[in-house]
Amino acid sequence: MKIKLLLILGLVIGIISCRKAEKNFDDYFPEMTVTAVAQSDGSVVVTATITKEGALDLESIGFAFSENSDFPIDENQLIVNEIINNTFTVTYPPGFDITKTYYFKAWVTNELGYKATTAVSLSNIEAVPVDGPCSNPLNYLYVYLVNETTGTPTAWEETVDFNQTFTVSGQYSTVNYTFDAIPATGIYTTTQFTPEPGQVKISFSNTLSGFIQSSLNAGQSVYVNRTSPTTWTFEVCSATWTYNSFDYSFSTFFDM
Amino acid sequence: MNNSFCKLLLGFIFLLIINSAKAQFAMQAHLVMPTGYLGAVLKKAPSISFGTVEDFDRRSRVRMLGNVTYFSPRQERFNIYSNTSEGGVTTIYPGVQEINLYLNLSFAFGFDFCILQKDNFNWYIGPDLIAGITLRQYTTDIPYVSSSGDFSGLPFIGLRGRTGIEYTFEKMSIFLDFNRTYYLNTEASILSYNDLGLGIRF
Repeated sequence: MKIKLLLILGLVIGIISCRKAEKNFDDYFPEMTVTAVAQSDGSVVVTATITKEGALDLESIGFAFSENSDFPIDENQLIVNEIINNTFTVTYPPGFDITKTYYFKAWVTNELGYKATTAVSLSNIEAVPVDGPCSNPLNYLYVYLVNETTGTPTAWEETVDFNQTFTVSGQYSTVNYTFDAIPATGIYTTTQFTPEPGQVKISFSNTLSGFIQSSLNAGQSVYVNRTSPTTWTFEVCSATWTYNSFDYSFSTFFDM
Repeated sequence: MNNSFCKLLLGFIFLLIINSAKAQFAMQAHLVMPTGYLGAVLKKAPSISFGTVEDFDRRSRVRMLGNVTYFSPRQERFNIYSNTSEGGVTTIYPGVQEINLYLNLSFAFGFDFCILQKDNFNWYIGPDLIAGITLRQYTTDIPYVSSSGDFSGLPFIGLRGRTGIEYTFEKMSIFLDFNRTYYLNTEASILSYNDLGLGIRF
């Protein structure tokens, strides 16, 4: 009798603990929708919403984008860490080409594999330009009594490391713009320390009237326009820098 | 090693069947319903068992059945992935897997204990001890990571719980079993399925 009771108990436990197969294979994955919205700085916010939970726990979630409508999930892949209120999101930084169409999709993985949403397209991704409250001519640099423009007097050089540092040099001045990352279109604020997002450190040297090395005072505005993935304009309108307790003016407008 | 295991298993089955003097030959058709991970990947499958099942003596009996179950995958291609981490950056690489063969060959040795016996009708429960092998063939393709195919035999052992009913005519009986099976294979996976089996013994 005891054996029978044990067997019945074992069978009941076995049946209760069994996880029936889902009716459709897709039921093991969540159902999702995805949206992509261009931002004023030229970035794109992609948001995925889980409209129906899947039968299995998720292991990874993320996004991908491409210039092709059919593309794998490892193309321009970004993995995100959390789902809040059935939604997960990512911001792709600026750098999109206004002439192209981009396709975005979200994906999830679980122990069975992965599932991706259908791709949504986005075209004409362009940042809203920002203008400073001054009208300096293009390729103009004014630092401590030195007024330099392209070809006048002679030397004018612009370099970019395609990371986050931009350099413009006249005959007597060399100015470095250092950002925390590749800058997007927008108004940045100067800092004298290592820049954080939204900040820029503008340091310079000036060889006229002695050798001066300094950087702009903190809290001043720098107007940046990213006109294409590899071109920018930078404008500063009468910012101040302090040297030996005296305030001096700094202005510039250049493109690269 | 897998070949040796198969030979041993088949020999053991053969010996048990021919040494079972009181037993009647039995065959049973099953509908196997994979559950858990197995159920996510494989469809419901037909299955057939051959062997011996004794008459009830003193309200219990021995049964020994060999079984073949042919599973089909639920998808032609499964979207799988591999993740790699390089320089602190994790990347999920997508790929596909195709399961071309998933065949379970097994032998079950067990008992039935009668709960209710009335005229020619029996209601019973029982456990089985199972040993077998899964023959599996699949291909995996994850671009930039790996591309491979594999045919393997995965030995397994398992346990089965069962309840069933049987009706006996003059020289033959028909029986209907509901089974719940768990088995552990050499990939350290514990897999499970339910099955409903309609059998005849004579």
